[in-house]
Amino acid sequence: MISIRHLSKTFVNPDGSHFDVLKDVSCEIRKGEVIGIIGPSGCGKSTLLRTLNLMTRPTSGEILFEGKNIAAKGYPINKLRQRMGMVFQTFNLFEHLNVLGNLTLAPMKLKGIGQAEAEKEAMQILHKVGMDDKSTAMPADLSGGQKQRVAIARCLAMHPDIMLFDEPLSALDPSMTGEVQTVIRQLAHEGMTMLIATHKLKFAHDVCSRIIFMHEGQIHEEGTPQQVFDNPVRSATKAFVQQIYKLWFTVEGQDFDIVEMHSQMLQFCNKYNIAHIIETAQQIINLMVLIVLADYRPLTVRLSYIEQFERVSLDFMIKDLTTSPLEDNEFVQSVLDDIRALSKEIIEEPTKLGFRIKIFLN
Amino acid sequence: MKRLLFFIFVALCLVACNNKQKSQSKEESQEILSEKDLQGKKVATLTGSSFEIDMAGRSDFKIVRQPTMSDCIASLRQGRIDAIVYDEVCFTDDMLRENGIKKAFRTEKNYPCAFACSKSNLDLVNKFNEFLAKLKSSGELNELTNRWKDCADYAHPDMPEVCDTLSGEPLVIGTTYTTAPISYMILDKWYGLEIEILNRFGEYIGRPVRYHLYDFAALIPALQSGQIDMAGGVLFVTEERKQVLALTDVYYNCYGAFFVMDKDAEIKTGDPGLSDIKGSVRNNLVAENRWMFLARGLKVTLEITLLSMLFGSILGTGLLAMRRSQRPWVRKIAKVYSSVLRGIPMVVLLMILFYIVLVGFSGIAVAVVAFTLTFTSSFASTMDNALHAVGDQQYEAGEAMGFTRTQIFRYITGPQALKRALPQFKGEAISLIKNTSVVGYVAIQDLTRACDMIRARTFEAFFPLLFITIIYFLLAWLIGLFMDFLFKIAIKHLL
Repeated sequence: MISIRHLSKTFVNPDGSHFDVLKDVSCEIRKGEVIGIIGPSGCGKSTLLRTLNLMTRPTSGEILFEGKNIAAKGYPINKLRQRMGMVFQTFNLFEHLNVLGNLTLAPMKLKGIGQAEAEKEAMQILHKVGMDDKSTAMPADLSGGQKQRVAIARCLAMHPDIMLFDEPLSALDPSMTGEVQTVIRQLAHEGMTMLIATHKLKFAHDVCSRIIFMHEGQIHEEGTPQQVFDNPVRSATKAFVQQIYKLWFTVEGQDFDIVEMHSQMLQFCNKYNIAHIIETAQQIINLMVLIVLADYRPLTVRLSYIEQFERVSLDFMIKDLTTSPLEDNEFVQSVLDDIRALSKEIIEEPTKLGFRIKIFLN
Repeated sequence: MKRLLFFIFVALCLVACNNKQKSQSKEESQEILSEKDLQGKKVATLTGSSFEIDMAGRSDFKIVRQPTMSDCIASLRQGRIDAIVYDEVCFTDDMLRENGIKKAFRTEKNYPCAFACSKSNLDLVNKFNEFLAKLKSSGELNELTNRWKDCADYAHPDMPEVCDTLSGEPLVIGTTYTTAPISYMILDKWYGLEIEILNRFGEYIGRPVRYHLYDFAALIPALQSGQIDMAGGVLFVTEERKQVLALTDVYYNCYGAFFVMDKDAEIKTGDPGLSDIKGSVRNNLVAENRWMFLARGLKVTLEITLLSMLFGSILGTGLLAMRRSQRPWVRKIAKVYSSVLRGIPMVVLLMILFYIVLVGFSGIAVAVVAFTLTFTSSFASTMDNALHAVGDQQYEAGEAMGFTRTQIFRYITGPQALKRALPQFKGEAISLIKNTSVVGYVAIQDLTRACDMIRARTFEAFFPLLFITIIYFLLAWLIGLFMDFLFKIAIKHLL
């Protein structure tokens, strides 16, 4: 459907310095594919997406759509854009129009469809994204998730051949991503060709039929989600896809501020959308720090979250210790039994720096 | 409604203040009987008048410039100045009595007055001199001068009707609205000594006479740019004027006089009561149909405002397109245009257009052009700012859907910007209507000038000003409502 050939984009900063966002990118997009574009910030995934409908003009290279180079001078780009829906991170709903108006504007003004017909169809599309009861609401009165669903519906009203999603979930509160993901999954199910630039690896893993990992302006690795996420070939890919988020504390002395630690943990969990484990984690930390390892100071506590596998673990590390600090008496064992009941697995292991007790929460 | 009530309250306070000022004016000071007594005093006269120019260099007293005679009288009564110097015939006995002032003494020298033409028009000067000589020798000039000088009260002698059937090219006279009995205006008819002489002269040479009202300072540029054939309005014969202009023979010898407060006069004190206000209303509005001045001034003000808004909005849309053009040099032109206009004071712009660029056009046309130019600029920058506030994201959304630049503006960013800009547009429209009050500089009789004319005839400072304050306030209020209405329609049709 679309062939990208040797695409490059160089931004020139006001001070004259150059920045190569895209370096000789080539790839094929076939009909019905759902392609996830992942990669660290600034890797060029948004730029790649935006060159496809010429919102950003490439410096060199070709983009062939139905055999014609859209980057060539004189190509009727507006006609192409009408067939390509684009969903933005910031929704960009028309703020002066209500939900229905947002959906009918383009069909009426660009395709010349009558108002009654356009509205009838818009209502069907709104029903599809679960927004039909909000058809008269103004964008300012909607939640983030609702706005993004309307933005998707707005694209669908033009019956696009392909849809481009530029970070569709990034501006949403974690509690709102679900409803938008559902709508995108539904579209994938219906066979819509989609390109999704996203930070949400789990979402990309679940929805996409193909993953493109971008790194420093180039396609670094590409393949099915299983290939890229579970068996990445290249080291940069590996480092990126197995994103592990960590939170560290060092417990020293008796007056350690445990309340402060818990509040930081709560923030961390909210940020990565794992608030459901916070209570368990706090219970385990209290048992370990205050009872089991009460005599071991300094003690390092680490909360790790591996997004790809949605795995949360707690590490308790004691420096320069070579044997397990878990005493084999009845009291400690009974506490450890409580901890085992709360968690999935406890691993005791010596490391280079000292001794580590790893507790997997799920 | 609340605003209206508040405004009426303020107006009443002003009335109260005015009456208080009247009663405060009596002050003990040394009587002024001769020029010696003026040592170190402040003497007021009209800005740009011959007296101001003649006396500006005096070291014994200080000349204070006032725009109108009513301002002079108000200042005198408030004790801000000690005397007024002006043409001795400009006040009748009744006027002196009513205002509680008196003539102290005549100026030592007299001032010969003449009409002025541009140096290239010596023909006209010669013809006038010929005509004046005949008038003098027949004794008619003397008779005519005395008739006008002796007229008492506000009454004015009948003036011979101008023959309307003269077919020649009009003789255009520029004059300042001075004071009775030399030259003055009642509605759109001119009266006075000068006027009668000029009318007769017109008949003599077979050309109909047309009068245009100018500020004193604008007379000479108007002569030089050929907008008028002849300038009048008590022009003193001075050496400088002889050098740059062609002056006719002297038709009138003017004596100046110093006017001071009359301490023996009974000054109205205490409660002014309704009768005072009634009297003022009658004097300033009813007598001589003076309200017609205001009605016509209002029409002119409205004409200028509404036409400028209309043309300014149309051209402003064009300028906006230039400001948002993709070509840098087009943007540059628009930017330069706006910054040049921002840097020119309105009065200066008006004068430049009137005397240099659009010579030969009527004052109203020039004013409409000038205000259109500025409104164009402010319209464009207001919309430009509003479009910035709407943000690039809205633009991008439209772009990604396949709308053209024009369509995006028409359907998406334009309506939103218009909504945001509404309050500022209201402000712009209101300040436009207020700014039109300077058009008097280019011989237009707008609302403010109408007020000046009434004040020049009645010598009252307060009531005419109060009337136009009320009118301007109501205008601003109505134009605000009008703009709301306009935008409601615009937004309804744009969405």
